[in-house]
Amino acid sequence: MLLHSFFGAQPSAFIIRGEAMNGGTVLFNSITWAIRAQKLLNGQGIGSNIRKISKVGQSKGCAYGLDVKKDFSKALRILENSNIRIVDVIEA
Amino acid sequence: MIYFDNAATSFPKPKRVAQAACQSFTEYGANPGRSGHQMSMQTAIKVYDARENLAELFGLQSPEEVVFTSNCTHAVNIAIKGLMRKGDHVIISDLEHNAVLRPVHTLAQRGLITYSVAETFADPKLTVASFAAHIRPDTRMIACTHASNVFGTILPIEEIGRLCRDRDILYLVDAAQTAGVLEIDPLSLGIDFLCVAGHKGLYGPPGTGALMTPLGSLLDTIIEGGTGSFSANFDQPREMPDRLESGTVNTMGILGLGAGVAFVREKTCKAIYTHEMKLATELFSQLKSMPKIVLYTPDFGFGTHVPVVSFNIKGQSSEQTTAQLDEAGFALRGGLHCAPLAHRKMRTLEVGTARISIGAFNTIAHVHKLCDAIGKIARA
Repeated sequence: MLLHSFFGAQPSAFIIRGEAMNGGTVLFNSITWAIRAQKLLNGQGIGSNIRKISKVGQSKGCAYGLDVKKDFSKALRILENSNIRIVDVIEA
Repeated sequence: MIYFDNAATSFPKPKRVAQAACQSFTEYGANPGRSGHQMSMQTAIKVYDARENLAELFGLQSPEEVVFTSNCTHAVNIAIKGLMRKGDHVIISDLEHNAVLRPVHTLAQRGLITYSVAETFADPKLTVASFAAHIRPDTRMIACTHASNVFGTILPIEEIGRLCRDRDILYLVDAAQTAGVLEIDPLSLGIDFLCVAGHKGLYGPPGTGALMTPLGSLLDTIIEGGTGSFSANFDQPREMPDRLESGTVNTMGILGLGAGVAFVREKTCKAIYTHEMKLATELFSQLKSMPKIVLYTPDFGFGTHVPVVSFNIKGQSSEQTTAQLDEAGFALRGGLHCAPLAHRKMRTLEVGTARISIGAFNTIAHVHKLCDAIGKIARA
């Protein structure tokens, strides 16, 4: 389920139902940001996997998804506190 | 052959640099940040690691502030041409390499900007005063070298940075000769655009460099194209580093550069500089005592110079000297070193200078052998 879709928003914008989330995918427009987010979460003991997503929304084009299976809400909070630029969040 | 041309490009490289670069052919050969398969992802992570390594060496706030370029010149051009608007004024120093002079001069020739050349002095206060005297209401940027690639003279970049902050002027530093040799903290020095060569003091392969800036999103682009992001959008993305890294990146070079930066971080800039300057000061001292040798700085030492020494032998051109030294087994560069302003200042435009530039792998024995060879040529 796509929760929101606006570029450049901070993760807090997506944590509408965050506390209830278990797993999900965080979307980034750039591979650099996706890897940075993955490393950050790894450092906090949260595992994730990066995958290419060919189309985001109506016009943005390619993106990279960071699949987080556990502690998704915690992961979003960590990313928020680190000013990681997220495009979208998809709840599992 | 004993190599003393590290200001042009460092040699030899640490073994790990060659090994890392070779991995782009054997393990990380896919296009990073484009495809979704595992090799592409793994390659992207390796590129990111190199970016992070550079960001940490220079104390940047985040790896996205690092833009990989082909060399320092490329980085300087991206920043200057991306920033300058019609009517802007730029101040450069009288020691600039063509990497800074030519883009500024080209924009001036096109009628877009004007520029002034600030005189530099042995006394850093006079140098800063000279820059200050050239500031006008339309001055938008000061662009200067951290250290002369011909004479090794270090400019007071901290004080010039303070001047820029006080006057709300953008600040670009060409650190081609200092990255990996001197500790540089752009944040505390007030540097908005730090341009580095990857293949000199950072020991990466030729064809590597970086622009480091927190202001990349504000730059107009001089190259647009595929970034692997926002692909359906006709506009170049604002997001860094993608905005300034269109097209497939130089994976081989970047992986090697990452290993070079790791080498520097392990050794530390302080240890590298100390080692190289011990050799350079010994060299300078020996040359100073030789007849027929012309040196261009009255003093040479720690804190005021990087390990680059220019000299000439009376009665011959720099190219003649370096050719004779080449035959004797020493690699040095002669000529103008792409820095005509510096030669105009030192009145060496006609003969150029023979330049000795020391690297981390040079030894005191190398210096003694070189001095012996120079002495023999001078006496002949």
